[in-house]
Amino acid sequence: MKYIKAAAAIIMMLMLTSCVGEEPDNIVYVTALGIDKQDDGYVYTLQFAQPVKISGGAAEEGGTGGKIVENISVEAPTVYSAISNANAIISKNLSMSHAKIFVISSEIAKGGLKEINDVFIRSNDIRPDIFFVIAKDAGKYLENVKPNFEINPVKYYQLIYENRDRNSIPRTTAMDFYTSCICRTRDCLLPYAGVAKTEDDKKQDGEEKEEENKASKNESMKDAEMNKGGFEDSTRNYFAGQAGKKITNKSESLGAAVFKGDKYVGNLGSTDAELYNILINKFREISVTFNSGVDPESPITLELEEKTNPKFKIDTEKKHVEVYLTLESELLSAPAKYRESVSIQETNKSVSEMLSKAAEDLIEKLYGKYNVDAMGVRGMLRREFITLDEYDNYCKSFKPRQWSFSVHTNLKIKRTGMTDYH
Amino acid sequence: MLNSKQVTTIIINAITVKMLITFPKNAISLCGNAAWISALYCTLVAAAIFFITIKIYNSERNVIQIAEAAFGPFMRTVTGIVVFVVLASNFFTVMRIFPETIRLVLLQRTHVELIYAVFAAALVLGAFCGVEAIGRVHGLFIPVAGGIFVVFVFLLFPSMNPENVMPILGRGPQSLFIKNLPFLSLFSDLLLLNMLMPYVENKDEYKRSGLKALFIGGAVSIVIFAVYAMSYAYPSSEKLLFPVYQLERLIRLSNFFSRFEAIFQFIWTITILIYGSLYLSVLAEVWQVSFKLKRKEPLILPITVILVAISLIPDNLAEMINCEGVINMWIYIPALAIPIIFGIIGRLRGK
Repeated sequence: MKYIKAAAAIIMMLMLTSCVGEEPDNIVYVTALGIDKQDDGYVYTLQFAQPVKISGGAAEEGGTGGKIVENISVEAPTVYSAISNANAIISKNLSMSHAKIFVISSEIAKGGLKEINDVFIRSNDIRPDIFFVIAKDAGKYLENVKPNFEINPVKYYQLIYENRDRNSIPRTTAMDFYTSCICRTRDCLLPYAGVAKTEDDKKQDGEEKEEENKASKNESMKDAEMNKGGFEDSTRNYFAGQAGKKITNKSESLGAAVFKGDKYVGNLGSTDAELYNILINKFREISVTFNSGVDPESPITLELEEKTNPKFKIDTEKKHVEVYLTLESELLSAPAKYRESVSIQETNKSVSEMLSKAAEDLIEKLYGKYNVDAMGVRGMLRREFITLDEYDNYCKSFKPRQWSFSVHTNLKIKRTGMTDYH
Repeated sequence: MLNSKQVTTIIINAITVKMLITFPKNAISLCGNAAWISALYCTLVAAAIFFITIKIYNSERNVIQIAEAAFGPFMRTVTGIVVFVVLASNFFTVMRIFPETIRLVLLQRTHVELIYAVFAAALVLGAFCGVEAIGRVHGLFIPVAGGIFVVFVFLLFPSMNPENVMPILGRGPQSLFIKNLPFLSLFSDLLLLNMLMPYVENKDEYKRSGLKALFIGGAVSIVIFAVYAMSYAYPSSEKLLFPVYQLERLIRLSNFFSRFEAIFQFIWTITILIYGSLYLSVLAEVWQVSFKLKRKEPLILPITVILVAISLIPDNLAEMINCEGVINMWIYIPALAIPIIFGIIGRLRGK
């Protein structure tokens, strides 16, 4: 026994005191992955952090140390074969354990994301909280990611896609998307990403372009539709690539890609995505403009906060859903003429009506135009049944277009900032 | 001798350790996200069976000793072999599933054969230490694991959606209360408790510890099923092989705390190592008592080798999980019936 114990101690000393497998120094971490379709297969763009640039040394030298990410594109049939191919180009082994986003081209997404879902759920490397992002050209989006303030690209993606104060994109994780595709309890909205068209893009190769870090004018901005009256009055309903007026980082994430099951069917703009986040209570605070009614140039601005989850009352016979939103708000700004003539109670009423109307229009767009169950009626219907068989039978004939919605908003201004209302 | 805390923690660990690997997957396949109701029902059924057992079982000897006293050495050997087969069947799947799981989630670049070898060696080493030493480790470690389990459940609150447990009866009452009776195999380690009789101070300790462990183990499995059902909607919940591991992956506290599975893998490994060591030690002892051998230690290594060899028969992990499902279909019957049968025999023969 004494010898066995001694042998065990020696074995443990030799085997349990070092990194078995791979040294961290031999690994390069993929932070984002883009998938595009080409005529005869797929192109994968792998974006990885430059360890030398994001380490302390670069920061000490001042600034971010230049380009913090590197992109390489390879042709491959699947994600992991793309990683194998990429390993022929770069010396270090690629790891997906710190990947934050999968950017998928809209062309691929239209055909369905079953295969990508399968890669995601099978892999132990890929975290459940990564994001699937839809872009017209995934590779181009990643190549244009040039964070202005972050040294670490992972931090950049966290602040863009996970931030609860950033309301113009849906915060649907890949795990949410996977479960919704398998369970069909709701149809998902995913973040939409794009690249701005600037003055520089028009210049020919020989022409002199702006310096690397100098802002250039965004030509796509004027394409965004302006909201008139009601919710987010005088604000443009931006799509990705249309937001900044003069920009250095041309990559943007704004609006939502609408999915029916695993297939991409359409787009929503930034104000629609905001409204959607309000309807499913996935926001913390949001500043919204409303038409003041007295001065078309000056809307009122409220900071909304949702105190309770929205309530849904479902009538399975009439296929009708009543949505009850309860919101609190703080007045951030209002035109002088408005403050003098309209009371807080009147504001509460008119703003609630505007929000209800905008929400009903959005739901009509989702259920009527796109025929998707984005509010998750199918999921909510589960509570109406006792067994899965009864539920499955009912859902066989479920068609989103047959459902109607009424939204009832109870919005109250609770605070008026640091001054009195009038 | 084992004290009350050690016996209780041994049986709690034996019941809950299966919940940490693939056992929940089979239960969810049968009754959907209502598996927690089935767990509650089966805990009550197991408690009723155990209650009947302790009312009938009037001896301070285990079933093999009763068989010998009642019918002589031949029946001792036969009973011993039956008990050995039941316990080994209940245990051998772990010898394959655990190393394969470790290969999948933790040591992806290590040869699985090496993991098998190190795992088996660790179990053999633990089994050599004997039941009392393993019992002391259980007494120390299981309360710590329990504390971490409570923290784990709290950290999962943000991922839970109570609507996911609907429809409340899942695949229907028949699936919940009849087809899912094999769920009772979660409690088949009550036979292990019977084998530990010689280590327990008295009969009352056996009863008290058994009931306590059964209710705590049952409660833990109900909580795991309920949390899992609320975190993953059905049918996505039935597609994941390792439900508890998948739950750990969901834990995240803002940007500063994630990858809770590192803590889980530590807890998981220790609980399975002490569970496996105890089982090997008890299996060796059953064989020793059955054939009246002088020592049990020389039996530990051969038994381990045989169990590992049997566990390697299924072609792949998916087949092994199916095999575990098939074993669970019948294992609870002998495991729960043997103590009752010998309790009756003991009473009739005055042993």
